[in-house]
Amino acid sequence: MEGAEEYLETDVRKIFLNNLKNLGVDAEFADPDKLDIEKPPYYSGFFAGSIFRMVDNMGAIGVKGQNFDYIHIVRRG
Amino acid sequence: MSELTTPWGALPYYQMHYIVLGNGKVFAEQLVARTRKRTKGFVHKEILDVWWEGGNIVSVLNQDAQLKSLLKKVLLEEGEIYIDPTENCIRIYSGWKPERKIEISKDALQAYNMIAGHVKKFMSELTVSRI
Repeated sequence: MEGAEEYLETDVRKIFLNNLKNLGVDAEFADPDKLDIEKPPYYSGFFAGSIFRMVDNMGAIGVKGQNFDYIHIVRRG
Repeated sequence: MSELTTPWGALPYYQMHYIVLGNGKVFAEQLVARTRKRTKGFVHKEILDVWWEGGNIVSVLNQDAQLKSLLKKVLLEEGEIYIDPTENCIRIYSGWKPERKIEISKDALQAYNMIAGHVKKFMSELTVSRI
């Protein structure tokens, strides 16, 4: 195959970040060391099923120009 | 070994938490909320009505007609939307999404933005009234 190689993006964080940028949102990956939001618990426990929910942290995206500050991506364990 | 580790490994289902910074635990019972909907049809599903249930914030959210009409479209893809106050932030999220459906639509982004705006305003009003 000649020219630039094409490949399928499999990193969900990059897929979601590109999706946000396509919608015109100023977003970039947040520094994980500075954030408390990436530390569990991720749920208050008010809603049924959230108390014993096992999740993995996938990182956060910092957003500018919106009412919310970050988008935190979690994966079901 | 972490207590969150599962023997079968992580599943390909994701959740995006839209984070509003602030101590949610202080006003937790007033901020907690979730959507409820009345639907029609199965294959061609249509949402007839949407309303919020939960703490005092629902009176503000239920009065927003623009948000309501937006949610009638958005909840078809997002399922339910929850406002969940935790220790260091307020999390706004929907149900679990499979890997192929993680991308968000413009309407959904606008809906989350509007909800986050209501949460921020409600929190600032509560803080002022507390002082």
